[in-house]
Order: sequence, then C-alpha cells, then structure tokens
Amino acid sequence: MKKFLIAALVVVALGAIVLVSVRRAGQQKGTKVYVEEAHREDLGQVVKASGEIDPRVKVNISAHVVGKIEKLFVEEGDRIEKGQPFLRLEQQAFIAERDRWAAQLRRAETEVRQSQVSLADTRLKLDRAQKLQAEGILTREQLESSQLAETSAQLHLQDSREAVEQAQANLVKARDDLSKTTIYAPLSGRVVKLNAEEGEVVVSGTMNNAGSVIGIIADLSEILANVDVDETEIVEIRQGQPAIVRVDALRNRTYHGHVVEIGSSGFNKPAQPDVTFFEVEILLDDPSEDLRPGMSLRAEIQTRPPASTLVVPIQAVVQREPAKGQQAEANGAETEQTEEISVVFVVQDGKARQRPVRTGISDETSVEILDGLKAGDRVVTGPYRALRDLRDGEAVKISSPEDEKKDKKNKEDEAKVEVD
Amino acid sequence: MHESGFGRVLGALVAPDKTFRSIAERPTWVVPLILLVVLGLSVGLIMQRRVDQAELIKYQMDRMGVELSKQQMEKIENDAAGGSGVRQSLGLAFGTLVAAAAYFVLAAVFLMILRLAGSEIDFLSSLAVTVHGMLPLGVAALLNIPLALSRSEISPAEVMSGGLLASNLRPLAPEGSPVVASLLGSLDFFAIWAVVLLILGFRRVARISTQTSATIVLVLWGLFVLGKAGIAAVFN
Repeated sequence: MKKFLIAALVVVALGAIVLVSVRRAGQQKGTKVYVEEAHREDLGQVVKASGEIDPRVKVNISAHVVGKIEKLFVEEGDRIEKGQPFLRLEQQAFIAERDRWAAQLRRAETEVRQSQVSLADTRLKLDRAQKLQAEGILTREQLESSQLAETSAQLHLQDSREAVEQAQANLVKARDDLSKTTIYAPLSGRVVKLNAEEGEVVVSGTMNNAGSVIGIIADLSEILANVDVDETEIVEIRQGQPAIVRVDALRNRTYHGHVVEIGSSGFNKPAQPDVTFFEVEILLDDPSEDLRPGMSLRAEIQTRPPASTLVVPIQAVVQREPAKGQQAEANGAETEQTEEISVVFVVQDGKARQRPVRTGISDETSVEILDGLKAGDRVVTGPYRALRDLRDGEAVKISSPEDEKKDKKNKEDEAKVEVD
Repeated sequence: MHESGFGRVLGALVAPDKTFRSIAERPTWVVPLILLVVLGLSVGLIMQRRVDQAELIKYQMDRMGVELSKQQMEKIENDAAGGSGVRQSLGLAFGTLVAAAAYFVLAAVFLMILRLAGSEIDFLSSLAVTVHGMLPLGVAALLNIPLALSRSEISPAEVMSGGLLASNLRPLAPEGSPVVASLLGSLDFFAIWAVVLLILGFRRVARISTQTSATIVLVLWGLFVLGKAGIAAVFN
C-alpha cells in the first residue's frame, strides 16, 4: 500500500511537471515579433547627396608675363575691391625693354627722314639726267642709272617706314607687358587662395595650367553647395527645388537653398568607379561668413513636398516569393511568379500573413504604401532575425524590444545561479 | 525483469528496492550509463541547434565578467556562423567522454566515502548504483527532448539553466537573489528522486544502514548544491 502510494505520488508529480512544462512551452511557442500599425503621416521625398562649398563666382589670378614677384598686396583671406592691386612683378627688365623699343622707334623714324632726303635727291638727279639726255649730253645708260637710283631710294624709304611700324608695335607690346607686371583684382571679393610668396617666379599660364594660378579671388556673397547626386536619383532633381544644407564643420547651422544648375554629363569618382554621379549646384539663400570654400557638406534636396500618406517602418517591407494566390505584379511590373516581390507581414489571429504591397517614396525610417495595406493594420517590424525567416501563416507572439530586454534580464538572473 | 540491463533501468525507477538487491548480487552499469550519456547529449544537441551560438558565447563571457571588444564579437559571430561539421563532431565526442567520465568520478567518490564508512563495496558496484540512481536525470532529459523540439528558439539563459522542465522551485525565488534562486533551483523533483534512489541503492549494495547511506548521499548532494550557490554568489 505504501509503495503504491509512493508510486502514485511520483506519477502525479511527473504528470504535473509535464503539464506545467508543456503549458510554459506553449506560451513560448510562436516567433516573437515586434509590430507597428500602418498609419498616415506627412512624408516627403528627398534626395541626399554630399559635396562641398564653392563660391558661385571665383576668378583664378594668373600672370600674363613671366617674372619674379616683387610685392604681394594681399594675404589669404583678405577682402579686396575690384581694381585694387593684387601683386607687382619686378619691372626693370620690362622698363628696359620698353625703352629699347622706344629708342628703336626713334632710330627708325630718323631712318625714314634720311630715306626721304635720299629719295628727293635721287629724284632731282633723275630730272636733271632726263633733260641732259634729251639734249644728247648724257647717254641712255647714264639715264637708266639715275632711274635705278631713284627706285632704290623709294624702296629704302618704304623699308624705313616699315621699320618704324615694327618698332611702334614692339613698343606697344613692351608697354603692355610692363603694365601687366602689376595685377589688379578683376572683382570684389575675398582672397580664398594664395599660392605664391614674394620673391617667387611666376609663369604665365592658361586655365589648363593649374601651376600658373597665383591666387583665387571669390565673391562670397553668392555661395553654392556643389553636390554629387547618384545617377539613379538625378532624374528626380529639378531646378528651383528647395534644399537643406548641413556643413560638417558647422554642426549647429542649417542652410537653405535651391537648385540652380543640374549637370548634364556624369562622372565617376575614383573611390566608386562603378557609380555615375551628376553635379548639382544649390545656391544658398542665407550664406554666412563662416562658410569657406571646400567645406564638406551634406544636402537634402526635397524632390517631393510632404503630403499625408500611408506609411510603415521601412524595415517592415521585405522581399519574398509571392504566396499562393498572390499576384506577382504587386510591384506594378509584370513579373514571373517565382520572382520576389515586396511584402509586409500583417499579424492576424496570432499568425503572420504575407501581404504584397506597392511601395512609394521613403525617408530614413518610413516607406509609403501605395497599395496592399490599410491604416491600422499591424505589420511586423522586427526583430531582424525573426523577420528574415518569417513565413506566411507562421505563428507569432507580439513582443517589443523593451519586453525582450526585461525578459532577457529575468532569464539571466535565473540562469546566473545555474553555473555548473 | 531485474536481471537484464534494460529491465534494471526500468526497475530502478519503478521498483528500486528489488532492482538494487539484484544489482548487489550482479552489478551492471553499461546500459544505464549509455542511456544517461545519450539522452543528456541529445538534449544538449537539440538545444544547441535552437540557440544562437554567438549569443550563447557572448552570454557566457558576460556572466564570467569578460568584456569583449568589437573585433572579438565579430570573430565570435563569424566562427558561430561558420562552425564546421568536423568541429561539431569533435565537440560531440568530447561531450560524450566528459559526461561518461563524470559518472565514473562520482562513483569513485562514493566508493571512497563508503569504504571510509566501513563498507566493502567495490568500484563496479558503486558505479552500478551511481548510474542506476541517476536515472531520474535520464527521465528528465527524455521529457526535455519533446519540449525542446517544439520550440523554434531557445534563449541562452534557458540553455544555461539546464532545461525546459518546470521541475524545481526556482520560479519562487525573489528577483535579484541568485543564491536563493540557485538553492531553490536545486530542489528539483528529478534530483530528489535521484538522491532517494542513491540512498536506497547504496543501502542495499554497500550493505550499510539507511541512516549512513542517507548521510553520505545527502552530504555529497548538499556540498554540490552549496557549491553551485557559491559559484552563483561569486559570479554576481
């Protein structure tokens, strides 16, 4: 009897343990998921891009003549007005050249006068020879000799006049070169770059010769945010679209601007050779003195103004093969049944139901749902691991990150005592 | 029924006195030892497949007070993701050896204490009583298997707590009292069942009084329980 009682107690205890454990396991059944309701909110579309600050108008200062810098009138960062001297090159050689050509001109002019005298003399002699030959005093040969002398004097005069013109031209050029030894500011602005020091020799150059740029004067009253927009987003950009610009160095400032120019030819960056970018210029409406050319920035160009739309968290939309009976063209394109489509999982009666959706615009956290959901539908938003493996019809248990944390902590507290 | 290996396994659970009398005459230990090892490893493997390995390692490191750097965390995740079959097989073999060795060690400890208490029991008899007495733990493992199989995910904390059965008093422990929780967790139905079987077994096989047998088994179990509570206190 006693043994039977013990056996019965053991059986009852085992039964109770099994029942409680099964019940607890039942409570644990179902993948834990986080849910959020689909809801309406103001959602606009922005294109994000990074770039740098650049003045809208800037001029590279280069020398037209080669020479050593004698005097720099400005320092980097100085404000300069249009017409103010920027720098002066050593002038002695240019003054000497000018004086040389001036003397050359005077000499040529004297030469002309001498030639004119010679021509007048040969003409007198020719007249006299013609009369004497008519009287039969001179031979024909002597007359011809006088004619040749007159022609030669004419040519000499012409040659002397051309020498004068040449000397005049050279003098003009020498004076021009001399005038170019002093460079003046072509616009009012700030010296944003100065590449040379006094005593250095500058070379004359063109726009293609970066080494010839002595300095840069920029008009900082009009500042551009030059950003590189990905080719997939450039089609959304239009002139006049508003933009918000944040300069990395000026963390607390936000600048507003609008698109003024959209690049028409793409380019690749060395770091991303497979991606084509287009340059977009945003003119800042409210530039400040703090801005410096070359500062890094991030811009958000608003390509669609905010409007009330049905949204879900962006991570709720996942790619899956269409469930049985669902149309593959949920994304608006005709696709094969085996191709993955955008879906969300809606929690209904403790189960996750796969719903194909058509998505619209998105921002960092939300995505617009054009079709497939209604406001109030509870969609699965995480955890990532659960959402990744979730299947249509799978049992789920609604949780939240806070619940998970609490649960984990409780279990840890319990388990900490079980160190073997 | 009490003569065959499998008969003794069942007999130890339902008719322990008769079974231990039989064991006293002819000790056997292979079948219960294999059952205990196989069932224990089966539960371990099933749970292992339902727990995030990287999370488990991080959890263990956390409990040991080891702070992992970002690189170490990434390495753990990569290693967990790329765990090879060979590595798992080696782990399984090692686990088998350790589990089997644990019973041999326990039997040796009992042998030593029983000899000190004046018994003339030999090692094989001590081992036979130990593995038959521990069979309730095999029952616990057997019940854990379907519970583990029914779960898609098991948390590292559940794995470290030893099982999914609601067979002890740990849920009654106040929050934030790991030592109390450890002590109440040791008051486990299957552990107590095993203690009772060991007392009965050694009384019959070692031919000692019930009081002596109970003292030896309870003292050893008490030390084990206190040891666990001590470790819980140290790691908190």
